[in-house]
Amino acid sequence: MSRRRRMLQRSLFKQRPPSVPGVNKHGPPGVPGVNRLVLVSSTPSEPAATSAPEVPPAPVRTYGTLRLKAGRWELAAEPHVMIAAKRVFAQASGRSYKAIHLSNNFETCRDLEWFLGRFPLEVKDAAALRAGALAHRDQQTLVHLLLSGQAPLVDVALALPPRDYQRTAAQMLMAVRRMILGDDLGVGKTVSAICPLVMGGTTPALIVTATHLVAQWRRELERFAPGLLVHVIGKSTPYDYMKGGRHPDVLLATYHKLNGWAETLGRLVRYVVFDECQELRSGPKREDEADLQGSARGSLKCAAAAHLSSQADYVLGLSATPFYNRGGELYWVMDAIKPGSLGTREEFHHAHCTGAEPKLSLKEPAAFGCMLRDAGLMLRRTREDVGQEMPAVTVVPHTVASDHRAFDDVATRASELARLVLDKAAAGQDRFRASGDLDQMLRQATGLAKAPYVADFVQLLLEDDEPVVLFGWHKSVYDVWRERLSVFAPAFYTGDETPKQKDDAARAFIAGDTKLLIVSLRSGSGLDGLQRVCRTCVFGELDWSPGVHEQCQGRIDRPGQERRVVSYYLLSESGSDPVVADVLGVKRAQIEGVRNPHRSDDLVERIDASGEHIKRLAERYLEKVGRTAA
Amino acid sequence: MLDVVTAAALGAQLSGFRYDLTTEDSIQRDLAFALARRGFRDAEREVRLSATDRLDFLVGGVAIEVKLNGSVGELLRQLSRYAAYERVRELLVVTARLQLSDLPNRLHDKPLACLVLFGSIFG
Repeated sequence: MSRRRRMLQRSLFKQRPPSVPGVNKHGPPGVPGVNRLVLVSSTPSEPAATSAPEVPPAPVRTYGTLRLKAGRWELAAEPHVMIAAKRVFAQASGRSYKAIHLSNNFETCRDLEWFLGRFPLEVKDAAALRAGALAHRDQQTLVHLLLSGQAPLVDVALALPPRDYQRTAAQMLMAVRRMILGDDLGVGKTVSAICPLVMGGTTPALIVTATHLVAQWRRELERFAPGLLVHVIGKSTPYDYMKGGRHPDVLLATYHKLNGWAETLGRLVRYVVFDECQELRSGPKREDEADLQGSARGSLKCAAAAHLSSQADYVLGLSATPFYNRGGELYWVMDAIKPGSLGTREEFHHAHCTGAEPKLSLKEPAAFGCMLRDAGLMLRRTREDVGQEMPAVTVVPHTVASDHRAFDDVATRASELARLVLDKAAAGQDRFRASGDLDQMLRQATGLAKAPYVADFVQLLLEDDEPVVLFGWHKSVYDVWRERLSVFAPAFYTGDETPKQKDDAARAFIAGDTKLLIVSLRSGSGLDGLQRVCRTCVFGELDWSPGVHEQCQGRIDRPGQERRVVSYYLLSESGSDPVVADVLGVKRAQIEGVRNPHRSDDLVERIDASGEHIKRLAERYLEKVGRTAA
Repeated sequence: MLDVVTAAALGAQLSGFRYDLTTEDSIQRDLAFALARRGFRDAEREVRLSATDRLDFLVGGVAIEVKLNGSVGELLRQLSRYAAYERVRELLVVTARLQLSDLPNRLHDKPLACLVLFGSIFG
């Protein structure tokens, strides 16, 4: 290259404006609202908001078009730009390089705007794009100000003053309008959810919760906001609930009743709280799900929840364990709370997941967790964050013997089912059903096989004068425990009891009338009060989801607990336990990543001297019965 | 710290932590912290024995292999290769999968122990 040519080239570069035309270079960098990009490409006639008039805006070459088509952004450009676009917008699906389609949400608008800085496009709906991107900026600023403690906290007039971090959560909801509050178990999510009720513009409100928690919510509402008129929805179909011509301020409903009431309440309620929002993890009913089973199948309650969400002004999901199994469930929970916030399911799959539908796992759980926080979609504080430090739980996994007769009893039927599951020629639906039955059968057999040994173990604890919460799942297993532990007159809190019987059982245990409370793995979420009298829980059966174990443990490991909690996991070496334990490890990594992405490099040390614990227990027992451990 | 550490004792020392079970890498990272915390200053990471064999850790003659995926058969073949080296005195498998813990007590006449990260799976 000649010298002259090189000089010419250099001078040409000098003349080019150093950055994208339209950026107000004089505004403080990074301050939203000032340093805003004007979409030169989309509005050529609009004067660029630059204050350097001596540099005339260079003509901008555009590479293609960007338009809103049927509610989604369609980006069509030259091939090399499409390749770049596909790299930036990982959610875009399909192999075609002609055009990509993206859900229209704030996040996408902001990303598109940024992309336009590099590859200017002719934008047909510039106003929508600008509005979306601006909204994203504003929201991000708000979230940042609130979480960094720079925004002043407003007063919340509850009968008992809420804590600052509870006010922060309420204020953040008022700002972002829809989010998940994922605070640790026992941090006080209920009060955070009650705060907005007295902040204006939020009543009438609807609180959706699990059946056994309705009474607890009612009590909390009476304690913190006695001025509010509360009505508990009693039937699955709409009826007239007006009291003396006044509309209740708060309606309390269970998830089961949601479907019948969604239409009626959709038009009325302005604030919806989904308590234990992992209930929404299966998503609404879908067309292709006939072959699926269990939670992989959509549900009517999720469709109802999505409808209510779309109509309300404020929506808050509460849960420390917003999904139970794989990260893909979080999509449905988030989509019910803030529809469209994660794009379509397909986009979510492409951008963040591995695996196949319906069991999608998050590729990078921690990165996804950071994204949720940054976008103001989730707020989560640990006990440590709110200065509520409690001693770490002592986890004691312990192998117990099992009675092989329980397996022999189901052997024939189980092998039949197993063959069907593995038979590729069988119809999909039959295979899925068979696998569900097989799982149920083997888990029950495993539970039964170890039930007598679990009972013996619990007896040791009880004779040590230690009140125990024992978790199980199968009715037949409860029967064995009931019989073997009858001298301790156990109270039951399972699927077989009515909400009132459950409430009574919990009260009896708290009052000290019985030292043993047998609780179903999946019916104890949210239950409060046990921590005042008990510090020992025993898992006599395992669940497939780590979130469930955590919920169970959270019944006694919560504020009010003054001693170190000990959690015994009784495992059998045969049956389903080894497989379940393996799956639990995989799932645990998913939820931990999302919840605690900024994990410190320091390890959490646990005191789980497994052998030691059991040994001490045995020694104390022998001392008590008058013998000495040799 | 013991002068001559055994695989079983090492496993017991490393059991009292909560590990990040996301990947083998994340467990290895946490193991490095745990070893430091327990005062194993001579722990070496990524020890190359040959062109194909690389130990995750070597601590005073105990080879540590972190395993999340694969079958018991594969794991045993791998461990057998490691056991053949003179530098390896004992073997310790660290896993979050109970199914991978079904291993013999000795391999090529060298003791083999297994640490299942129960404390990190539960609670």
